[in-house]
Amino acid sequence: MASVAEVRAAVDAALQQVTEGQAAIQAAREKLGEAQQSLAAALDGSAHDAVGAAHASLSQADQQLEECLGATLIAVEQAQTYTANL
Amino acid sequence: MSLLQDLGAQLRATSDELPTGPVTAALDRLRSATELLNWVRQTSVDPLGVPQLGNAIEHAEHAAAALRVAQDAIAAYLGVLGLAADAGAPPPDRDRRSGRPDERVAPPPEPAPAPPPPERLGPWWRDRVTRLTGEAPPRPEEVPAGRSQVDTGELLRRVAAGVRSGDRARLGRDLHAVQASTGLALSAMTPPVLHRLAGDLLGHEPRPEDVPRLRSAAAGRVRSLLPGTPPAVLDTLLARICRAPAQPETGTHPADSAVTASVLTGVLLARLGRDANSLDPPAAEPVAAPGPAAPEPATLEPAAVEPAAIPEPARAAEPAAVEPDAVEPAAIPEPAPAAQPAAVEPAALEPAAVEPAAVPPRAASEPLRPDADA
Repeated sequence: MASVAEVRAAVDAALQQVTEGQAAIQAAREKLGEAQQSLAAALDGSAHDAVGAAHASLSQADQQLEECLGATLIAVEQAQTYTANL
Repeated sequence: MSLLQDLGAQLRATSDELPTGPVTAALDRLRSATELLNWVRQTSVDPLGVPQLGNAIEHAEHAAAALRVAQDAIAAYLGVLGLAADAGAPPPDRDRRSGRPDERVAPPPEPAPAPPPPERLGPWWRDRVTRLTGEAPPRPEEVPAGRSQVDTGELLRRVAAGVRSGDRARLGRDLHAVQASTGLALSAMTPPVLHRLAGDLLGHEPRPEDVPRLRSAAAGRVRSLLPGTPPAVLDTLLARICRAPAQPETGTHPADSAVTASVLTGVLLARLGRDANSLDPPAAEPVAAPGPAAPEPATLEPAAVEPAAIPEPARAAEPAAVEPDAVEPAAIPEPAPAAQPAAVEPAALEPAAVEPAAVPPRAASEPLRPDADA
């Protein structure tokens, strides 16, 4: 039979996974920023469509990662509130 | 290098360094968390953050897709530059750090419309496995259903796990359980993996003069697990890894090379303190929290390695060791050339590169430490 402690432990385990995911997202954003700078330096002066598409995709990826991170923060907060009230 | 080549190299490097690995890793973590929370809250009206996690997963998937689009755009622009011929080619050492099999060598099997007819080489393969491992084939009732359905990549992982555990019986069971075609395909899958793992262990691209060091690091372990393998088979494999001229093979059984190569893969993985799952091509790259300094390069344990001396999972967090043989002057290597692609390979720059189980690339100015205490 499950106990409150077990429920809390399971939620904590899930939150640990979320925390690791957040770390990965942050690392990805750092790498992405470096890639954007590198690409901007290398492609300075080009007006080719592919270059514009690359820049736009990287910006979109960064924005999606930011929103992803925000969503995980809300999820963590909700889960922590739940376990705190058990 | 021309200006154009330089620009192309920069663009390729940027494309390769895009953080697809960390995003994939994040996706995996978030999916695991969602599954766990779903299980916990199955009958609860409290969402427990699950919808938000679903949103997060969706955003991460979009980010991954955007990264792929960016890579495609860069590849298209390389084509515009006239560098398309090699623009699509993945860098040769892209997966070097993780030791994953090159997907060009072992492409994922496509779903077949109908199962192929059963092969008739089973006894031939099992007889040779018995000879190599000294383990008799299991009785049919001892073989779990579906064991023969594993592909070569899965077989390689199982063999590597068996090597790590030092369990020859398990190794024999795993090899006996597959069809001959699956087992023989190890010969095609292992060479790039072995080359990368050996490079990671040595700290530089394997060279012909590294053959004795690799032999001393792996031969004892391979012999203990495969007492029936001819020594020439291992020597040939090591020579190929180090791009050294190999002795012509005479009368070698085709299974010998396949099985020995897979066991050698497991031995090198164990030496590096890596898990067999790191051979999983679709597996996400593990991510370590940024910040801690990279582990110190360590020492290559002396030659004759008994099973107990091989790093076990509990020791996986320790940096693997690369220490030369003290009695061989050639064992003290030259500094690794910093300008080589391996020194700046994208994978090594990823956060995953600081995972505890991974061996960091050796610094260019850092020679291997002679085993003076030994």
